Amino acid sequence: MNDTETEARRLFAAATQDMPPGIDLLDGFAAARRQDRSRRTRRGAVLSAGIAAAAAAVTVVTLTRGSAPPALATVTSALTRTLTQSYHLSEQDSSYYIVNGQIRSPHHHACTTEADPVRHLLATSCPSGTVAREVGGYLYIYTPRSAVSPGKHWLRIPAASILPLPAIGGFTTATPQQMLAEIKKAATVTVAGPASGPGWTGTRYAFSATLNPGTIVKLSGTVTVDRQGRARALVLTMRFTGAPGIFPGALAALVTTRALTFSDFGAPVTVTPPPPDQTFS
Amino acid sequence: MADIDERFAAYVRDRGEHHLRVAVLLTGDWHAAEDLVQASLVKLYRAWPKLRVDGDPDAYLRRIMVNTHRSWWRARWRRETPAGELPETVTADFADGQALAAQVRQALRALPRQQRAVLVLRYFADLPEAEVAALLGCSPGTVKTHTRRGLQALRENLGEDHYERHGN
Repeated sequence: MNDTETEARRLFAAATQDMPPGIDLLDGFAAARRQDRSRRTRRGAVLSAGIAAAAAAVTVVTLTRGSAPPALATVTSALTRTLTQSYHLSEQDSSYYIVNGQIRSPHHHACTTEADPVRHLLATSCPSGTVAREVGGYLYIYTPRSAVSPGKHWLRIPAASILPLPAIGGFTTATPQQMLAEIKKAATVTVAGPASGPGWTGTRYAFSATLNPGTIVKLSGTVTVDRQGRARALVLTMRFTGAPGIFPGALAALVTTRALTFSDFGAPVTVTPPPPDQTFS
Repeated sequence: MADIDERFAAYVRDRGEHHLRVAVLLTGDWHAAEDLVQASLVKLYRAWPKLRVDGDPDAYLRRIMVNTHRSWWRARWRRETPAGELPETVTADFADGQALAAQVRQALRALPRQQRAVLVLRYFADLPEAEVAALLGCSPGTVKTHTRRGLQALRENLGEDHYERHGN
């Protein structure tokens, strides 16, 4: 074994020495398995009896098997309807840490997307440089500097191989479809009031939930639905709180907010794949 | 917990921490590592009754983790996970060991996913090249290439001085 390999072994061992206390894989496994079983058997937006009971306790909308309440049903059907036709999406994301009671490392991110979910077409671009396209069953991601294939700039991935994200970590990068799935888990949905925008009027709904109490993620936000039953806006805030072992040192929480604004429903979307000689897998 | 097979629970107690450490090197932070191991354990549990008594659950779980991580990575193409970026002020307050751990993981995260997986499987999980190749679905030659480039990139990412001071 050469020196470089020895160094790598030592560095990797060192890189795992700060395991935070409080990680209980068996406990977490039991919760994950319950969630998995629930997900595998659930048909539609049906919450567990425990969550439903919690929702009832705070006198808001409560779900029971087979009787979806108007607010949640309205919100989820609006999002579902929105995501089954072409749309233009403007996206604003922000995140920050709370350290010793102060906001640190604020991070902002914006993107615009044109998508046609039925034809599996998508074109996204962000001022940060992220560019991606989905067309012909593949997702193409622009990669300015590819270490794998120098000179080629588009990573090609079969779209079918992209799987849903995990419940917790996935929040920070969720697609609208994945966000919808999470909103369906919301324990509470209430009518927040009227809303309007250029050429439309509608209603704003608020939702909130605490997911995986063992790891503590609080989810809250609003969905604005127009009179045609389409989602016009979605704001989702996730707060990862400082449960023991989640964050090191004085870090108490991570807060991320994603704001999506939909428009141009039904407008034609055209996406072309990158030149074949510029793609790699 | 009573509904979890005792043999499976014993396996998790015995080997879970090792796989959690592999996961943190693959993902870059403990929170994502815990997610990855939990998700992989659920998949392993589904296959548990079919595993031979003398089978190698480590190899099976490792394969699930690598594939699951690959899927997550593909789905996270749009942007980095904020939890992976700790504020500098916090990092500076870490004890030396924690700071080194965070810096090494950050340097690993900067590598292409496949390169990172090769290095972790070779030098943390201690797998031979052929096994890494089989696990990642590539040739042993590709593993060699990723290893060479990955080690070089890791050294560059960490900085020569740092690498020599903390490494060897």
